[in-house]
Amino acid sequence: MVKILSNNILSVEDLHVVFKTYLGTVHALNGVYLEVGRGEAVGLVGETGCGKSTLGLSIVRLLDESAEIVRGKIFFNNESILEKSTDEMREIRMKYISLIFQDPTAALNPVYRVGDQIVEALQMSKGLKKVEAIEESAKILSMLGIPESKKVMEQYPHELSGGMRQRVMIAIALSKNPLLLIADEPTSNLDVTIQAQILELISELRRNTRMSLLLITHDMGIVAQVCEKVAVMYAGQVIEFGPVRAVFKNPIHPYTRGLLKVANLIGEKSRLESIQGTIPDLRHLPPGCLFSSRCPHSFSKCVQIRPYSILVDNHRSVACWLVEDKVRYCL
Amino acid sequence: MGLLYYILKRIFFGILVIFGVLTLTFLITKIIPQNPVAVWLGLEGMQYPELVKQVTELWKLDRPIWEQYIYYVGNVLRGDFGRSSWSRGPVIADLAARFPATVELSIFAFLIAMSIAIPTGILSAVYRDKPIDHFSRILSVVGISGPSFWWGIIFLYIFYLQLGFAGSGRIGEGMSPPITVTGFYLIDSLIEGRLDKFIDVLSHIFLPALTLGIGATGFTSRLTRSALLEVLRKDYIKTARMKGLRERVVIYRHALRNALIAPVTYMGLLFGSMLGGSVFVETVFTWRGMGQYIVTAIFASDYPALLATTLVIAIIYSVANIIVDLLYTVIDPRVRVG
Repeated sequence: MVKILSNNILSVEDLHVVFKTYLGTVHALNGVYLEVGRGEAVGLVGETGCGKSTLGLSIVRLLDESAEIVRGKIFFNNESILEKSTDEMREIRMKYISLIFQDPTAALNPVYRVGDQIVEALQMSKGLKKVEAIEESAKILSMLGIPESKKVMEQYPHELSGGMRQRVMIAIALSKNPLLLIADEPTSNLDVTIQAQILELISELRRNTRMSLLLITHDMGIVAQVCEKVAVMYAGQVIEFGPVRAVFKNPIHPYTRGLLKVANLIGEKSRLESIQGTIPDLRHLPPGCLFSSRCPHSFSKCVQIRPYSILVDNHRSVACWLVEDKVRYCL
Repeated sequence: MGLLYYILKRIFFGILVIFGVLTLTFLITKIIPQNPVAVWLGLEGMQYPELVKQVTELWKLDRPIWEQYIYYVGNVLRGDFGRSSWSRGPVIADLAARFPATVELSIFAFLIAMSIAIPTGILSAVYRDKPIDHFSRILSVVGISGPSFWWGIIFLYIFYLQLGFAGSGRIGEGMSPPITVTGFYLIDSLIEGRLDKFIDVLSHIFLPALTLGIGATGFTSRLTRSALLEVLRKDYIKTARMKGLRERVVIYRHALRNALIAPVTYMGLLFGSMLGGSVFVETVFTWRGMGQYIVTAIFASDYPALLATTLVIAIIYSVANIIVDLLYTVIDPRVRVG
């Protein structure tokens, strides 16, 4: 079999994930397409419940037991993630992909000293001896701007501030020099000043390491600051994807436009706006475009057929019937 | 410094609780409309007013209640619990003979319960909704549902009557109890160097201990299962998995220690309730312990014996809770401060 090696570190194709709950089957991801190039930073934005985190966890196959990947493909480093055995997957998690969570308090084990938690990661990913790993963790922590890193390593997570905890989390994530870092709202739980520091830290590390970044957030400002590309998610689909500057300057999908307006990044800076309506019930998806019920421009086709991602130029794609006349290639 | 302060605080509150129990039981015996003098002297003795007056004065029952209370507390602090109106000996001597029997039984029951409950709880959580989970669930429900004396009778019927396994009592009929050092037959028989006695004692303690622990086993198993399942959903478990750790390491190193916090809380109460529950089990297995003693004391309206055993059980409860609190600080560093 001939494999076409792409330049992407990660590509997700037509990914469908459902959650089996007592109240019915929730369609969390409904055909996600996403690409992250090597060394690239992609922002994944969308409102709460649109499937951002589910997508992040699907990539490392750490979804809860109630979740099921129904269809689709995930390629990491040109290898199919969904066909990996448990042990192969363990190795990928051990050496190549890192994950940072929204709440560092919940992401660190409360009963172990933070030093031990970093050391454990280093022992796994780099096969270091304990003594070496201790030295190395101290080094990583000082690199992350933690003074007296040896002292911090002796402490338990509850004895540290939120910002410090997130730095420890980042230290664990970076200890393996990952090819891909998935950061799920890494700053939402932190003060604004700490938030800026953490983001600056992540950007700097990326410049130094060629690490790719998938940054999950609902904050458009952070995306503009950190990422080169942006993927806008709505109801379990990436509805618009492209370079940050192009998308923010000229959003095509009505939802993206609404989102940017809400974020006050485009249009006249006036009173707070919101997008009318709510996301559809993910248990009973309508046949047409999932945004059609809230879309000011929807027409009959929108309600009947779900739009697929359409490439509008070489770099951008949009899932919207409004741009069908501009179609060049279909995905 | 912090830890020592914490321990001292716990002990202080433990003493307060014991004192409260002491006061309450004293008051309850004052409320019960029964004359301890009559219990002591019997119908015949009551016919001699001189004798009644003498005993009443000896026990200071003619004094105001607060004076009686101070007298009683003073005696208790000196280790004098009075004489049992049933055995006629000092209560403290009766207790010294019976207390180790109950504690030995309870500890053994506790160990059996935990060594069954925690592994089945873990297996249940790890293989959730698999056959092994269903199996342990059924066992747990059956264990919790059956009252302990009923289990005792069933076990005696199956193991003793049908299979000829060791019967009731603490030691076989042909054997003499080991020389008393600790009062625990298991330990004393080893000190004496009699392995045959040890095995005999072990076979005798097994059934009552299993009976006593069976409800706790089911409950703790379920508790461990649900606590572990909850912990396994936490982000730090995902963090651990993202390190590429083996599933076994994720569960035993990262999940279990967090999951055991809830069961440990319960274990303190459990041990106390085993001492209470031993009332039934000791009766069924004719185990000469405190449970049997307390039943006899109740029927004989034996106030000094009742007061003393209640106090002893309260002390054990408090000590068990202090131990649990200390275990907390070992398991969970977040408790260590304050």
